[in-house]
Amino acid sequence: MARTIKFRSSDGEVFDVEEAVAMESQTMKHVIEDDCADGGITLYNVTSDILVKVIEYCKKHVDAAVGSFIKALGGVDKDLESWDGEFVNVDLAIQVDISNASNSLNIEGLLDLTTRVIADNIRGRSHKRSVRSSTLKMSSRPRMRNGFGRRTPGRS
Amino acid sequence: MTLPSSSSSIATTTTASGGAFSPFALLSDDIVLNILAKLETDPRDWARLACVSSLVRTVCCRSRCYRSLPSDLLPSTAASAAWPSLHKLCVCCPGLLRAGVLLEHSDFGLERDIGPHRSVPFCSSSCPPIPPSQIHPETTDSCWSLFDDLYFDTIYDHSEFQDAVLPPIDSSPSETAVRGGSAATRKRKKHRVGPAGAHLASGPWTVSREQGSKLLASRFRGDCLYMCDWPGCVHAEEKRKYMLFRGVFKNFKRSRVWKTISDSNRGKIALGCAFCACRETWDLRSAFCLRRVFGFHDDGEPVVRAYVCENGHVSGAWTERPFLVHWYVFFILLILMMLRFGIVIVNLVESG
Repeated sequence: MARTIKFRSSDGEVFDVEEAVAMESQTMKHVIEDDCADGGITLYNVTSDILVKVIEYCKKHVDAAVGSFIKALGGVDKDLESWDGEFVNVDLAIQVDISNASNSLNIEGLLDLTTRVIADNIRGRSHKRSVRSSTLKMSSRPRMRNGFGRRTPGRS
Repeated sequence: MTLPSSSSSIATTTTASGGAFSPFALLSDDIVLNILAKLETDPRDWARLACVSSLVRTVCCRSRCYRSLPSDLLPSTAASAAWPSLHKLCVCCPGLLRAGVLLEHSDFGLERDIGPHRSVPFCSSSCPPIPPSQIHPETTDSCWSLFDDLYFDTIYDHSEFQDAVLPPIDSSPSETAVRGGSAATRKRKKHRVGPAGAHLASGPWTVSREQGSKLLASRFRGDCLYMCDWPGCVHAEEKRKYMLFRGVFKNFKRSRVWKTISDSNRGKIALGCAFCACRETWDLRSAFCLRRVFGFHDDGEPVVRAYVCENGHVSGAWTERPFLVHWYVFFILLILMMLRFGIVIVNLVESG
């Protein structure tokens, strides 16, 4: 039976994840290899609804890689691409949360997928729409007259 | 095992009171850079996002400049404010306005060079000629300009015409004033085909010193002017085709062009730079910094024009050199051909 790892989300929900699926995350891979995962892993910056999505992505890609000769030959799995497209067809806020989670968990494929979708969302917007749209404000810091952002205390 | 939470990546999105909260504000800087890297192919996306993310100006422009510009042109400090200007210079055509194409050229640019025309009042015999020292009583620091030379060459000394009786010319200043100035300021409505403002340049987004050496006069051979590849951004207008170019001097304040401009105390013209905040630029053609072989078209428009700002950014336009066909040359050739034809006929008649 495959070994499972317990993941606890920031809101306290616990998920049992197969080791092979957990190791899609480079961060978790190092934790598991260092034998630090026995007591479970708490993710303070990932909520349960986002963690479900991340686990779903990792499981799909692990399953697709096992049975895929095309990927082994360096080809492109069209079915998997189509699944990825449906996977990120969600609200912008959820895309952002998944992107943050994939960055902290170091899941390269998921990070690339989410950032690509966000970039496609931004691409081609008119200047007025970009400035006026509150959804595109990438920083809540006040802007100096010369256009450079000013760092507010306590924020990175 | 617990993972440290990042202060910049909060999983929950909450709506702040009094306005919409942007989910993008939750993205960490490295994710934002990842997204911006995916938007690199079209510089207009970066230009739009520059107003909402300072990373575009500070990080993205710098990384793009490192990859596309010669190392000579790169600022020494990473925090330099020149990165956005250099990036814009790589990818952006200055447009007809900033390249000086829309300036009035019917007077060959004289009004911009020597100032507007001043009406010369005719003094009667009782009025002595005004000495040069009293021409500019208020502006003691103004330099002696070419216009002053022309003015004093035309006035005459009344002591030489003691016996002459010259009727006073009684006319309003508006009638005596030569209309050259008004012609220069007359705004002819020109129908433009292409964009007048700055826009994404067509052609390669690189600069080279080889192109810059083709523009400057030979005595400025030592200056490093990097320019975009020929023919630049081509604008086919009604009258002629303009090849708009852009460039930048390396160490402009140490260049000979700068020394020439500052030593001759040349005035700036009210033509802003397309790549930085400078609102005035110098005309390199009237400062005699361009190759002398470039002349003018019949309507007064220069074949090549170039303008440089204080930061060394250059905007300008090439046009095709006019093919001068003097009508009298044509008639002379016609007469010669007729003479030759006549000689041939006479010879034939005599021999026949």
